[in-house]
Amino acid sequence: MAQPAGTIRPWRYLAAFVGIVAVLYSLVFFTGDGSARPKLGIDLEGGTRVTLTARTDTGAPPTKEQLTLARTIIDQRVNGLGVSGAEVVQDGNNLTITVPGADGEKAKDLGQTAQLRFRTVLGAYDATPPPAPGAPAAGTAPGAPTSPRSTVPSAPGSVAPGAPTPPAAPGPGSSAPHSAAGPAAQPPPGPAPPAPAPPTAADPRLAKEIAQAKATRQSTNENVQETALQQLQCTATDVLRGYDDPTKPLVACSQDGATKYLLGPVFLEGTQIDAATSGRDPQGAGNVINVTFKPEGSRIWGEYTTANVGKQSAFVLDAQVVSAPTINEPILGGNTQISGQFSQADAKDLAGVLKYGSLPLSFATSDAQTVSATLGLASLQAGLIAGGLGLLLVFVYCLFYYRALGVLTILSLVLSGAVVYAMLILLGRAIGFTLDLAGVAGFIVAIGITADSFVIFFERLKDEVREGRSFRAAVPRGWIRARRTILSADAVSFLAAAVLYLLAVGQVKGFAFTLGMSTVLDLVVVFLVTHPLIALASKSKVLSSPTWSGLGSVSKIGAERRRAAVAAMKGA
Amino acid sequence: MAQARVESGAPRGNVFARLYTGTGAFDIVGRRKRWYQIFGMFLLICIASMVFKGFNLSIDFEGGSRIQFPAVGISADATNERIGEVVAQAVGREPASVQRVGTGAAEAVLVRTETLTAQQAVQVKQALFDAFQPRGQNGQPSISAISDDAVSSSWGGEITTQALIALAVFMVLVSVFLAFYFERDMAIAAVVALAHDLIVTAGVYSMVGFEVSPSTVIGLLTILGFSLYDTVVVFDKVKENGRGLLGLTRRTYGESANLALNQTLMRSINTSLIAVLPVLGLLVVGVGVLGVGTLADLALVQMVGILAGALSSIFLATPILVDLKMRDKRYRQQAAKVAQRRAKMAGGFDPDAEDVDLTDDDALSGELRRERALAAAAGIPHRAPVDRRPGRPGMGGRPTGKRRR
Repeated sequence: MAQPAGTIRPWRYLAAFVGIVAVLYSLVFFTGDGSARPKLGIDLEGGTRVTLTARTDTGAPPTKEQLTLARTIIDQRVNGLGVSGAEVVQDGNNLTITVPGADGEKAKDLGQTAQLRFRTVLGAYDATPPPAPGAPAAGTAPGAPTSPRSTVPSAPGSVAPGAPTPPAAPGPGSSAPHSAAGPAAQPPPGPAPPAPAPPTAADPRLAKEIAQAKATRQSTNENVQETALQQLQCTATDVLRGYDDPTKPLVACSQDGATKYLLGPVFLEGTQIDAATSGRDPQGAGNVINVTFKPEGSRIWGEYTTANVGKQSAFVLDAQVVSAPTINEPILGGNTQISGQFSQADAKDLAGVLKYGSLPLSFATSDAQTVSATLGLASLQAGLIAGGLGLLLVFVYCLFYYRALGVLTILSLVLSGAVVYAMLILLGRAIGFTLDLAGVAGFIVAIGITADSFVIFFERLKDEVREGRSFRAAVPRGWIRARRTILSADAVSFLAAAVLYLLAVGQVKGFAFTLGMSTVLDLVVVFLVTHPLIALASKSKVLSSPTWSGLGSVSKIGAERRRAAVAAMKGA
Repeated sequence: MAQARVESGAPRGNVFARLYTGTGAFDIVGRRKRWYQIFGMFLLICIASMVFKGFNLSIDFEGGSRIQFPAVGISADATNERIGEVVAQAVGREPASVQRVGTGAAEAVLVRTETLTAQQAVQVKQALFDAFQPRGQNGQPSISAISDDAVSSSWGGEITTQALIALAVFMVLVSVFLAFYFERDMAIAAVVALAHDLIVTAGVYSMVGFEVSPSTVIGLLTILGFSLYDTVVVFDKVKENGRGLLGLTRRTYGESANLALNQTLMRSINTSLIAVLPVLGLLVVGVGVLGVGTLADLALVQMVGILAGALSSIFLATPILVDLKMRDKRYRQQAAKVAQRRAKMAGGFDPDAEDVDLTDDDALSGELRRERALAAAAGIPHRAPVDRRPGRPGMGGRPTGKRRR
């Protein structure tokens, strides 16, 4: 017998594979925290995920720098929540905040980070139906205790010079709206139906809505302003988020939706804030926020406060009034103290808004999801059951169809699974890859792809045997042909996964990643395990017998054909 | 041609045996007009359905909130109506739907509403907790047992837009890849088959009214890989069979392609079947246990897509390829020569007819030689003496790598 060409030394390949597995698992167990558990996504573990979509002033796509800065800032805020394991990931024009565990609700407010601006308060009105028609809003709104629901108190407070100068007596300002609160500027009658129209996906429509809102709510005409005040719904999503024109007046709601304000043009941008911290009020009970301005801002703020003592000024974030303190005295030098009935948490939040509020971008919450641990566990179990069921079905089919070769298939699949699992853990540590439900689905689907490459190889073997070769002679020839097909088919699969991973947004990334990774690992297993195993089997008399290999009927054809060929030769 | 092969001594079994052994002669390319008609009609129906009936879009496209909590162990009066009332009281508007999903321990109540703000979501969750006391993981009632998901109307749109961009990029890249790896005609045929799969899958969704979620759109994209996988397998064989075809008068391109199809038929069926099996598991569990969600959405769309892909790779891709090839004058001339030769041989015995495989033996043995040289260079000693086993007559005398007639 001639030396069978293409013969490989199977043990060498198998040893290489064992080496790879050994290296992977020693990395798993001896580096990092040594736990053999992949990092699970919040939909499997429970937690909160918030997807924020960036919007720029101009509607143009945000630049990379802007997004990176925004990510850093939001990251700081997430860390400020004090929840371990929380993280912010940039995904296209989106930032995805994930907070594992049950205390992620707070993360849903983080997206409110956007442009902070200072406006004069021209009037403040209760947003809820008035107790009696005609009653002036004075006293009911800004001075009233605000709803505790909001993370940042929208109303009471006063500003005074900070540390260097002794602060004026703290406490809620006598914050009556100083002007423009005529009887006509009444709160709207009755609770109107909640605005059902959601913001639009299509940019042109959105632009139109913004234009409309600007026309009414930013009008300089007093009558239009009054109408706008009446029509304004504090419950609806505000289309003007981050789109308000700083040079014009604005009709806006407070953040908790309890108060409506008529505001003057922006006199100071939040970017002029240098720092903001919160702390106990040294003068008395409660908490204060200390704000320092940059030189330019300090000058403007000083001039403004000098001219407007006793009046309210509003800190407007994303076209919503975060806080509207009263100015107690001129503040020169930039060190400002905001005092009021703040709880410690409220003060901290407000300081955060003031400090980080001036993002170069505004964000809309695209998806805010909280998954309970129960649901996560159910999903994880379902995913595992589905994977097990899928594997079982493939096993049964392979055994039925390929008999002994089927056993090799199963072995290869199991080994492939072992490598995939190790890669999961390692990638979780190295690049923070988390396995989510879509990723699990990707793996299950990839079982099919992996098994398919075995099928291609086996069917090629059958081709060879059918042509009259022995199983043993068929292996090297079948392999060379199958290899080409497997490579090209896997290349197409990988291409699909890679394009999806790079271009698509959302959960698809996890799916594409696991699918692509499985495709690559499939090649490793086919080259280093399946082929060598088959080569070994082909040398074993028992395993290569037609009964066991499931090649009985094709080898019969092969034998017949061989006989016919011999007969033809003789006849010739 | 096909007949000749059956005469050559293949076992005449049932369809399955013919499939299994790969010698079964299914004239697929010859009847391509019929396939075109069938596929064309179905495509028209699909497109019509998409245009006139549209899709059943999930809340992710229109914006909305989903609130879900375990149904096991909640208070007995938690009928769907009662749940709806509680939600309505909490936020002042009726939920769009209240339903039970999943089975067994995973059974859950799913409430859909218009998009809730973070504050409203908290209110609803509190109200639901107060009313029904859903239990958390440890069996104790806990508000954190309630899941919620608020999706803005633009989110589904953005996912879809990105997905469509990915689709376009993939189509271009894969066309280039196939054109380089195979031939231009093959790339065109494969992409046409791919387009068919996408349209049919989308059409089936439209016709049956399955809910389309972003997961569905994603699943649709991953069909791309699968659909091409099958086509690549078939075309690989077609390419192999078609080598040097023009210089011979044994068979036309169509016949050669049909032969390749037959030879890979079982392979195609097997790969599709094996691909479908895990997806089937996913679907059973996704629908049966969880009721709704990512798993079910992904599985369903893949299932439909893989089936469409299997059919199109067999009945559409290769026939289209043959028609494209036959536009080439050389292939038409060759076909004419084949016919001439057949006429001459009519009635007589065609010695070539029994030769099933028109292989790339030269290329293959070249590659085998190279492998051997590489192995030798790598210092692997010949193992032939060790491997030689006595008592296996009939094998040793036949050199591999060379065919003998």
